[in-house]
Amino acid sequence: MAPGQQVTALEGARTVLDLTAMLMEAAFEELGEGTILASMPGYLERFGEDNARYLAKHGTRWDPAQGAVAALTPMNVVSRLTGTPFTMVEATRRQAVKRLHACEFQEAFADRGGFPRTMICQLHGAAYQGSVNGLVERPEDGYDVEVRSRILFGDGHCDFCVRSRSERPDTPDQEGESPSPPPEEELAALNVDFYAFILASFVDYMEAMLPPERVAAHVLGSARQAGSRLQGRRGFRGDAGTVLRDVLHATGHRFAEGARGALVTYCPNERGIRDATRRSPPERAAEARRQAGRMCAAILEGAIAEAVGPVRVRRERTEHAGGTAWHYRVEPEGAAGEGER
Amino acid sequence: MSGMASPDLDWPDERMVLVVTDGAHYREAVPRVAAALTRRCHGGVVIAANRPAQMLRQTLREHGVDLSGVSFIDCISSVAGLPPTPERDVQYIESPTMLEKMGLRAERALTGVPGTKRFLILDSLSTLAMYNGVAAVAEFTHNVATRMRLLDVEGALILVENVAEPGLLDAVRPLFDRTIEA
Repeated sequence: MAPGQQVTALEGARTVLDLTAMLMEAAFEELGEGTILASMPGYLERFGEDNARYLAKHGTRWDPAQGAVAALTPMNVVSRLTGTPFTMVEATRRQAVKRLHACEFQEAFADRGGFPRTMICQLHGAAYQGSVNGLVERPEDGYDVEVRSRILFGDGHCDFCVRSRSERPDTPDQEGESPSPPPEEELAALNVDFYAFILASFVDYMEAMLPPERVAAHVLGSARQAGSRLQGRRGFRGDAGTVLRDVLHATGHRFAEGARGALVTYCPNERGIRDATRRSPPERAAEARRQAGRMCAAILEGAIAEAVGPVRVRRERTEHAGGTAWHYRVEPEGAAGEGER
Repeated sequence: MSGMASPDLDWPDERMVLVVTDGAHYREAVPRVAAALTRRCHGGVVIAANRPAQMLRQTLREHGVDLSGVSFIDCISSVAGLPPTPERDVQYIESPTMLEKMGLRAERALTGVPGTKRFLILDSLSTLAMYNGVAAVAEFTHNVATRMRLLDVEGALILVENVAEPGLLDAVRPLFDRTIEA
């Protein structure tokens, strides 16, 4: 991977994770930890199930009836996509222990309070729980996942123990087959896409629990803050248009120059957002997608505001030869303009 | 938010009050209820099922609620796997599913409240229903309401409408002397 591409993948993923952490804190404040602890893990389990089914549809092969290691196949694919190193500490059909040697949430969550850190660990465990059971036909033939150690709480690694509910032999088991890793550039895009899936799932969850205007307020505030932090890390310089293009580039978008702004022809988050909201009721899914668009514009506003002062970023849907694209335009704050926010 | 005075809530004279709020007003509702009851009573007990006691206490202080004579029963920190921090005014319960233990602890804590005018706040029935189901929470509410009336304690149980399990409001409303919105 070229150095520029590495930065692109890193900044895109980091910004999305930053935003997820901020929204999570806002949701704690609004809904209360008790409500989230009771309702969110189930939501993330469904996310894990969806992820397993998605991978099965796209070339990953495993038989969850075989054993605990085979059942971990889809999450191992994800770990490879996100570049998270892991080893199998125990690998039998009855029980598997997967050890992550790095925490993908460390940077965004390390400085947060105990509850957000606990929550992200529980949610990570819930995603595993859903994923290992994603293709299991009967619940009694499935698996239970326990998070046994947590890097975010000072442990040297995160251990996910997967235990068979039914009597499976204590004999060695092995992972299923996954297609050859995609080219580096595609891998980087899939990485960002996966985190966008988590973020959009969380926004969709908030939509289910809170009035849309409250979600919009949190989404906009947090996204602007994530944009400011991105600008703080990268220090983009120049006029508003230049910063707009630099931020889009840094977060993995591909674009052509527009007449007044930038025409985005590829958004690294789009598939993740679409997939995360697919199972929701149509109205809520549409609203969650609108929120995702607003977040994107607000990240840009946050970054540009740090460099040149307050602006509004507007997006307009356009069609181009290859499909749908988005035209981004920067305006001074307070300008009456058209286009989606 | 720091130092902000809680907006006044017109508190009714009835003994058992169901406080219905929604996700948009929940953050403000708990301090408003606590402010109203701490003004009326000598002290009381807050069952924290939706927010860890430490955070709830901080929020109440930021809203200017006088917490002298108030103790907390925290049912949620342990679920998150956070170790309980020993504090004089906080008791921890392992899980919000332990309704009977919660009731007993609340009653015992109320006996330690100085003065004759005491209150119990429960935050919230909606959270308890997520862990226990509507029927179990309705039964628990019935028990709490009966005990509080016998002990002459003012009770305010909070219900967050848009996150509540379907049927919860209808199941518990008849158990109260009055329902207010906050």
